[in-house]
Amino acid sequence: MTYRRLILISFILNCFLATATKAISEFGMTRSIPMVLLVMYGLGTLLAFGAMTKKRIEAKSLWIGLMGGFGTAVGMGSNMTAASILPGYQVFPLVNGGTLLLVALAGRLVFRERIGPHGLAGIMAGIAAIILLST
Amino acid sequence: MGYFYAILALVAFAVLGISYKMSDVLRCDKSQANFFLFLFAEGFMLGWVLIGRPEPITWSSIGFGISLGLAIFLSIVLFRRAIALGRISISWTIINLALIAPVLASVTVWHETPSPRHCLGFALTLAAIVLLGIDMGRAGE
Repeated sequence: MTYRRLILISFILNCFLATATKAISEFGMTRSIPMVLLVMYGLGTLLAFGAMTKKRIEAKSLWIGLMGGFGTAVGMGSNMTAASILPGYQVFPLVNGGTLLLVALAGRLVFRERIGPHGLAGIMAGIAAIILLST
Repeated sequence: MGYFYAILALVAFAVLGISYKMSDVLRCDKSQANFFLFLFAEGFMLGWVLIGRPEPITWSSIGFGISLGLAIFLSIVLFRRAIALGRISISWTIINLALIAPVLASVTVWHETPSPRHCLGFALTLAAIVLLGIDMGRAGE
């Protein structure tokens, strides 16, 4: 599958995930979110175990998985805790916009990715859009 | 304390984004990286559920959890494959623009009136997608 197709399908799936999260709060199930996430990651674990091609454990994959697991679970948990303490118009633009900026900076400075003027403008427009949509 | 959690969320999500590119740079086995991501996420979530006092599990939370579990599994598998072919800076921006979907749903499904900020954000999302598409074309992606 080409890069564009992979990104497009991932984008559509993320649209579904983001909309379902909105639906959970619209249905008054905000307090059930930890349980929903527990089932979600549990099913993900089972599916990922079934899809494992190599059964011999690689230490580097374990560490990368730890980084990813920390990122997704602690990120969601902290984001929701912050939103319960501070107003959403402060939390969501800071977290969403800041994350995009940090990852774009890491791509450019750490991984030496080449970003053209259109790409740079697109990232800036994307960060501004995320900040505006989060408020 | 609220800002502490907001900064922690920001750093954690950035770590998640960077971990995708690192797995490609380090040539990790993608299927194992995915398995450990879900395993550790489940471990963190189990700790959160045990420490906190969420509502007891219901059929609706199981239903949402299963549908979201299928979606996030496919999304992570495909995104990790995409990162091996493209740049994290561009890919991560595109994926995060999915935030437009709940805003559109709130207007079309829940009949909320979009604010001028949301309208501007929607226009900027379209502009970002076009600009990133041009950059991807020029980079041969």
